Amino acid sequence: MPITVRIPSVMRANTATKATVECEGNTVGEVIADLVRQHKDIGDVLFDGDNNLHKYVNMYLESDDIRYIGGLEAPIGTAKELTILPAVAGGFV
Amino acid sequence: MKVESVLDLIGNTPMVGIHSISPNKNVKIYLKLEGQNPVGSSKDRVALSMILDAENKGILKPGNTIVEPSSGNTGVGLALVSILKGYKLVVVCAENVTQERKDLLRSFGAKIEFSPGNLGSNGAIARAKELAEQNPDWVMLYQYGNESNPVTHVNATAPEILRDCPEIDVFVAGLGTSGTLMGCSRYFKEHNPDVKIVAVEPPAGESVSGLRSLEDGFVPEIFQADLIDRKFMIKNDESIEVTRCLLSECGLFVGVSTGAIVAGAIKQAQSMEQGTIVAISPDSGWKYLSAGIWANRIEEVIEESKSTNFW
Repeated sequence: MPITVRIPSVMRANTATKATVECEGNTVGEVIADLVRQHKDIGDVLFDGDNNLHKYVNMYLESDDIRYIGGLEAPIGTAKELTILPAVAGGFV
Repeated sequence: MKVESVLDLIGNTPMVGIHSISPNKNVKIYLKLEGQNPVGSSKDRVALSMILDAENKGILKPGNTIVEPSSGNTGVGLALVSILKGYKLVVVCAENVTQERKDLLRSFGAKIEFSPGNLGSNGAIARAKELAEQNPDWVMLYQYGNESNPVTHVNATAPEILRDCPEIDVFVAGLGTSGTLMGCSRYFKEHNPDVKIVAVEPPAGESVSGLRSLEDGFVPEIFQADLIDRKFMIKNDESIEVTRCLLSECGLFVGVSTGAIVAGAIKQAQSMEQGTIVAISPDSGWKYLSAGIWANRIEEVIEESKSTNFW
């Protein structure tokens, strides 16, 4: 089952301006690997030099932040959407 | 209840059951109404705590000017304490905050410095830092990095919750500065480590159109990822729908961030067999009336939310 990966505007230069990309995979890591296969440059902004998720990148499987559900190992299950967002100041100040 | 100063009215906020909107009849949800603080939000606690701490450390002295980035709630909390203690106050906020917040800050005597709306809170923080550097006699308390922000929740908010709801299994709060989450988590981990900590955040990164690169990103200095067990991103349309539902189903007139937090509590309840959730309502609905949250068609409100800083 393909899953829709939502790309934030700040990263669309790395996906030929596409806001969404259809990807395949059983885990978040496999889906991201498929995304990088389709748009090689995005790998450089998603991960730091040690191949960890960049500290200013958040990924949500449906509404769950993947860092708290197993990270790149998190199973996709029945999820239909993976959203990538930059970490910015927000919230209830 | 009789007190000698309005500052004595900060804290000890009530908690109300909203079980009728829990998706699981075996999971109770209570909402702690921080909008009942004197100037209307959980930030009254933070403002008082940061000012007292800065005074104790000798950083802040009578006659000083305080400068702080805030979309409203911390700003007006600081304004209240500043009136009583004789400080001047400059609040830096994004130009697209609701009109009520601007009016409220000015009513309390604060001067407002605007930052570009398309830079969101990131822009307000950057501008406040610039102003603090340019004016050596100004004091920036900086809620995102000030330890007395979480400490007020360690000392008061979390103990109030455990006192009023000892059966708590899950705590849900919004992630802005992260002060409420960090402080309450620290307290619960010491006094009841079984309490799960759930964070809720808006999709802020989507609305900050002025973000040029990831390196402009921001994580509050006081945030510690290991103090949280789960984190939900709640989209604006869901936040607004739940905000309206809280009024129509429970008679609670609360701000949009409460809608997001309760939406997160509902998701959490769906994944539990049974138990009790306590969620924080950071403020009431008064500051959002001009955005038509309750009066306008929901489609219009959702469209408006793309260009307004509700948080």
